[in-house]
Amino acid sequence: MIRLKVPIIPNESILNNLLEKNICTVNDFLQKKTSDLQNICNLQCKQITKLKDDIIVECSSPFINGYTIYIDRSSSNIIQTGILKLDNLLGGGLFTRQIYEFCGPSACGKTQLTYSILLNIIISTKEDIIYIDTKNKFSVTRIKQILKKKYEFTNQEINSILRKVHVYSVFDLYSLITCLYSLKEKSKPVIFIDSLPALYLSFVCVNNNDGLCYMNHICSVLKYLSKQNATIIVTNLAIKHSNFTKKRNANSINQEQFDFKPTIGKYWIHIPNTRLMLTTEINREQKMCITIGKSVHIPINEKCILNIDDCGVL
Amino acid sequence: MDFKPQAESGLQLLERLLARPVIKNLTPLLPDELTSETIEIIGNTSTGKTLFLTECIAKCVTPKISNGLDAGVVYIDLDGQFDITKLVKIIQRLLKNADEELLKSCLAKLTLINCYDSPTLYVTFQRLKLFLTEQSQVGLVILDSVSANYWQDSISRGERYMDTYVEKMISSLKLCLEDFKVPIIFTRQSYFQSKHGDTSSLDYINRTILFQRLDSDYYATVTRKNVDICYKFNINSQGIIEFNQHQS
Repeated sequence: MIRLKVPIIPNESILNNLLEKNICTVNDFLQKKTSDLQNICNLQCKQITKLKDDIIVECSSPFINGYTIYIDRSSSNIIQTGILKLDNLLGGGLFTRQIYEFCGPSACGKTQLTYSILLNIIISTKEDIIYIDTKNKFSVTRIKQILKKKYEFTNQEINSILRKVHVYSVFDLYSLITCLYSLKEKSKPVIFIDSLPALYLSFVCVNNNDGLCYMNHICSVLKYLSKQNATIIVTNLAIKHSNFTKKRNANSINQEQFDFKPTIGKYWIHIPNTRLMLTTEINREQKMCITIGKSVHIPINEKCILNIDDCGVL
Repeated sequence: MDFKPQAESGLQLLERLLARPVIKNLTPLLPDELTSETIEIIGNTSTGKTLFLTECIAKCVTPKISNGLDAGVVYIDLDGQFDITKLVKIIQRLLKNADEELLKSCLAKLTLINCYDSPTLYVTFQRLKLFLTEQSQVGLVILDSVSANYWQDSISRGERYMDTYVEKMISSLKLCLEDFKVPIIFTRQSYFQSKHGDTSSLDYINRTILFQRLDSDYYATVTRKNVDICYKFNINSQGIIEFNQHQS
């Protein structure tokens, strides 16, 4: 709710009159008849109408012209992930103002992929990265290993890269909301969230829908941030629902990778702009298969196969 | 002869005299005139809802010479799924080699609103009224999607019954637009329905288009006055290609 405050309402005494009559929010105010408001505020009809129009303009979302967006968009660049096959799959790299989701079963390489991408971004752009870690498992050792093996960096260089990674450890949805709000001021950030379901799981099987309410809140902030030029990458766990009653049909092996369902499902699926489904190649543990699960500009089910080794994901 | 006196507000008079563009033949799914209609689009993700809307915008903003409607569009984007580069691609397909100047004149007719919470959205509806009074070329309002902030609202004493939630939002949008006779298209996700509700009985909606996908085939079913017509279509890098009526 948008509360009525002094800069919106011309002065303290009018505000108090309104609050006395139980008109506390902007919507209450706008829904009241002008004639009633005239009496409450002791203002003339003309002034009330003007006040209403001012409030409407002040408290509504901005109207943006399509051409302005187009100009802004073409100047904003694509961030390359530094993984050639993935960049090709994504049509050049990660687009700013988009929310990406990496979704896959546990131990399929979601975190490994985020490490490789974040290091590549830091090395090529020299920009700072925000990494929100919900499981307290951000591994500096692994990052050092990648940097040493792949780039043969000295300790000093490694330190300067690590300084650019801002790790926020959060342990519940509430602190994630606070954390995301604090990022509102940063311009053009790249934000990784690893992983979202870890926080959400504590709400599963609770009868009320509080979890979804907080998720909705988080999604709103994420959308806001992404429209402020941020690029957001969220990892989501995929789980397999065991279903013993169902008979397996002939093409069950092909079907296997599609049996996995994202943990935060039908609500969350509408949020990311692009969903990448990660799966381990059958019997080849060092390979990762990436399939497009949802996208506006990439054909669905396009895929690529990546390697994981000491040098990270390639 | 009987003359009935009829009162109208200044705004209504202005609207009657102003030539607002008529939305007709917007897509093969909506071939007739859409004055003051409310059209609902239902579908899961990746069934082509947003792409369909983008096609509609492209058709509206392109000039009449190239088979467009030369109308302005207001797009209220609650889901953040709208992609301007896709729109540009489709406009370029419709206009064939369009130069920057022509593209600018097309895109300038689109007004995009990003909104992140419902209270702001309701104030934005009011502002839309002011906006449409000034902008006589706007012929279509799109809301994508109604359900975006439902959970957030439900914690703050909001409407819990999903169908009623949608009806409340759409009727308050309609209230702000009633003098303008502008059609409204809104999307809703398929899961977002009250459990025992029968959606076809919602009388504030004039037509419903249901989007579905089976492997790589896409289907759109248009329901109007209890008559269903099913279309099959394909999506490629150019956008949506041809709707074919489909016997189911």
